[in-house]
Amino acid sequence: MVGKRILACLMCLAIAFVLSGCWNYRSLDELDIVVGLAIDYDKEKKVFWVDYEIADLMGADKQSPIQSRIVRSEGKTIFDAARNAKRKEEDRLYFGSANTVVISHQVAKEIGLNPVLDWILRDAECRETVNVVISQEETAANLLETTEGYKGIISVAINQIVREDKKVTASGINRKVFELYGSIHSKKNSAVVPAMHKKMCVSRKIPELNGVGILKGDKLIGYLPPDKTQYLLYVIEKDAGGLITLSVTDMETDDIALEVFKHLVDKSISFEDDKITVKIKTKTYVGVAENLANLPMRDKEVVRKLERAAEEKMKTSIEDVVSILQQNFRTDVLGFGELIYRRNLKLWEQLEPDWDKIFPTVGVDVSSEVVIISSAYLK
Amino acid sequence: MQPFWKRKREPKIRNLDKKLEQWNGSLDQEKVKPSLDDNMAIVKKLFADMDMMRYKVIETDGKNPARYGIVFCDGLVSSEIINTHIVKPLMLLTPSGKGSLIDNLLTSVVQVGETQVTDNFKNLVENVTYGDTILFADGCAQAAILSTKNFALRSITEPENEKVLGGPREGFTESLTQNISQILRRLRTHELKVRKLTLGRKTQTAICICYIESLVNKEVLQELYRRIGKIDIDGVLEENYIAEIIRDHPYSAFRTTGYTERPDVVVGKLLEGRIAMVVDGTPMVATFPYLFIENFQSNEDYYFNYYFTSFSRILRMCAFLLTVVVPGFFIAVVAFHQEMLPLQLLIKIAQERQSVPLPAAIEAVVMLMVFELLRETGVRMPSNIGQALSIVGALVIGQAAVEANLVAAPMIIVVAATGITGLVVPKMNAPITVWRIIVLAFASSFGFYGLSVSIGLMLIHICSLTSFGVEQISLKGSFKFQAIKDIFFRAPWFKMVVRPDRLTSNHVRQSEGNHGG
Repeated sequence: MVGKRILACLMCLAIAFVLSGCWNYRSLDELDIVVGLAIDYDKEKKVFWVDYEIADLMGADKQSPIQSRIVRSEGKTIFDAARNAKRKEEDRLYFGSANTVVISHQVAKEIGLNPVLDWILRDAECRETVNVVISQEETAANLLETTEGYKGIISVAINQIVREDKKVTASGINRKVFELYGSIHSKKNSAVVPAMHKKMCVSRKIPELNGVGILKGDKLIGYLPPDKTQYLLYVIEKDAGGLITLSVTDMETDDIALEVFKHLVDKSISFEDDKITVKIKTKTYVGVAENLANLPMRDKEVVRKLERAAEEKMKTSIEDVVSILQQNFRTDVLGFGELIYRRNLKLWEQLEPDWDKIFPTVGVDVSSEVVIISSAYLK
Repeated sequence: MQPFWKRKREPKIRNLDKKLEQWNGSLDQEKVKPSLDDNMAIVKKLFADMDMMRYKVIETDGKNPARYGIVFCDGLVSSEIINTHIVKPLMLLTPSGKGSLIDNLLTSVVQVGETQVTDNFKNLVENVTYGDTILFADGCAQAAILSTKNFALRSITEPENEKVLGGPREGFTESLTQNISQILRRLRTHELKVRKLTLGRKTQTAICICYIESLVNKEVLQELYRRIGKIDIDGVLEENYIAEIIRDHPYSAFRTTGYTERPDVVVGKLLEGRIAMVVDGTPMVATFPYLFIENFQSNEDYYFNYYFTSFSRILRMCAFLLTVVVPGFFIAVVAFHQEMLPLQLLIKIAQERQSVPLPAAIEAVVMLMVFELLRETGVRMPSNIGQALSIVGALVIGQAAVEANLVAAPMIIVVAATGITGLVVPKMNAPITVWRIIVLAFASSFGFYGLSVSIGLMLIHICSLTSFGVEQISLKGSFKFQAIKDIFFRAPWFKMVVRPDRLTSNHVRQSEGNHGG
């Protein structure tokens, strides 16, 4: 009978609701929202020390900015450490909103990034878009430790600094976990990771972006300072911003600042007489941001001269960075391997086994073009 | 004792019709007697303990002495008509003519326009209780019914729950004739048909079915008559008594019949080929068939600029979706899918939730109940104590509960948004109440999975709705301009070339392209 059937359905439904009532239910007040992690390694005890920066929801009143607190746990692996944190914490850690992972230079040099990346990518909760930063301080935790008077969450600040840097100062390169994993496990190129240190600012020490760390495989082999990083950025990234400063008079400091509006880069390879040459062509649209030399910008000849000077600076700086990477580090963060793979697969198949040896010998031909599109002329 | 599913049901009363005849049929057999005294005795017996009935016997002498009896109900009649146009001529004039005495009285004595002759007491009772006067003549086995109706009626005012900024301000009243007159005045064509029926064994409520002959879908009309013919109910006090019995999908929360209090709306719907049902005693007029989009249409849409009204209509649709989905969506995000929230928002909400005692889902149910209570109180309470309500509502719930950390502030915002958007489409309050709870239950048990399942169920249900055999939502998938001109936007009047094709086969409303100066 229909009535009974309906009744039976209703009872099933009622039970379904009751039995499934906790399916994946996570009450927000029982979560510790992890915003950032710092990963260190204790060589003597052979354990990982993981520090979590957690949004401190109980502290302070609702008006003031949210503070954070640091929880530290240890474990044989990183996930082991993450689980061990529950022994100290009332609520369980929630990694879904973590946006920064700081890795100590010691871990990066000796153990490599793999254990960290592997866990973050495998864990269902962590995002693949977490930003990776290498700490140049003694430990990674140092970077997250708040100095007195600092308001807000440091991981959020680090994330913001690293993410927006490319457009503004062009002194570091933002790398997310999945991007890093991709380049580490590819033979065609090597990865760079933004590096940060702490610097005195007025009365407290705060984190500052300090160029990039160069990786070979998943291990850190050295750093590139911010001013060199800028020109690395102009080779490997599209749409980089930043300022190009020049000296045209004999003043002690640079007297012209050009703001990069748009930067285009085109790389091509040529293979002649067993010699590989990579052509790097850049085209940069800039505006005159500062003109301390008082150049008359209405004069087209002057503008053209300035453009030539900027082109020269761009060309030499890029060549400088390329030679450091080829001769000192001998690792292909420039993505030449990738380029050959895409343009000439057969050649790449020949080169692949010895690419590490071939890379330093690749010839590089840089040509730069700078166009001043706005001089912001002042009378 | 047997388990409940094995217990036998009591046999249904199949001979209900016979019993009904026993209760009601006796009056049908009662005929008017030739003797005036007999007739008066029967009437007095029928209306024993009914002190509003007035009985009067008039005797005339002279050439042809005669005795007449008149019966009427005080309060429903015009005493002026009875005194000067019935009693006075009966006393002074002598009937003349060739017909029966009662016919002669009607043709030469009584000065009343609307009259009727009958020998059936049931008929007499129905009319005398509706303000008519019965006239018996001694020696005649028939009685006359003289129209002397005069009720106290409410004047025509603007309907409270369908207010408009512009457009006609007339609304229907409780009087059937007045309501019909308002429709007639707007439709001066012979094609407007008004069929009168009577429903309700005890109330004998008059019902008028109005339609335009050349536009109406005959199948829908026949189906309507068939369904109304099957109704057997003791009383009809409101349009909904009938609409609920005859509608498709009787258990659905969504409306499948329309209603309105405005004559302009009724005429607009008649012109699209719909049928209107006017019920005596209520200002609500039902319209059939009812399309789903009518839930979101308002008569103002057609009176104001089409850009503005198209925007308002989209707002109404969004409001319906929001009010059904928002509580469930919020719970799903907060309790299952925290990854959906940006960090800053997550921290804010988590901070609010820290010190709140109830889980989010239960809190949502409690707060929604509180809002519904406030709303219901607002409707029921006398208007001069409204201040107390707003203080309790705004201060106690809004501020004190949040400050005492009993309720999280985001939840208050969610409930407020749900409540406000729920008031935008008052015609859908039933489906909103039901489906909001269903969506909330699914979402707080299964997260987004439950949310999408429950919304899917609702959409499937809406798509399956029909009204008198007409699909409420057309799934034929025609996206031609004329098919969608009055759905998500309201096309300008010069583009409304055809009528909705599901309602009528007579499509052309106006010759095309008659706009522009």
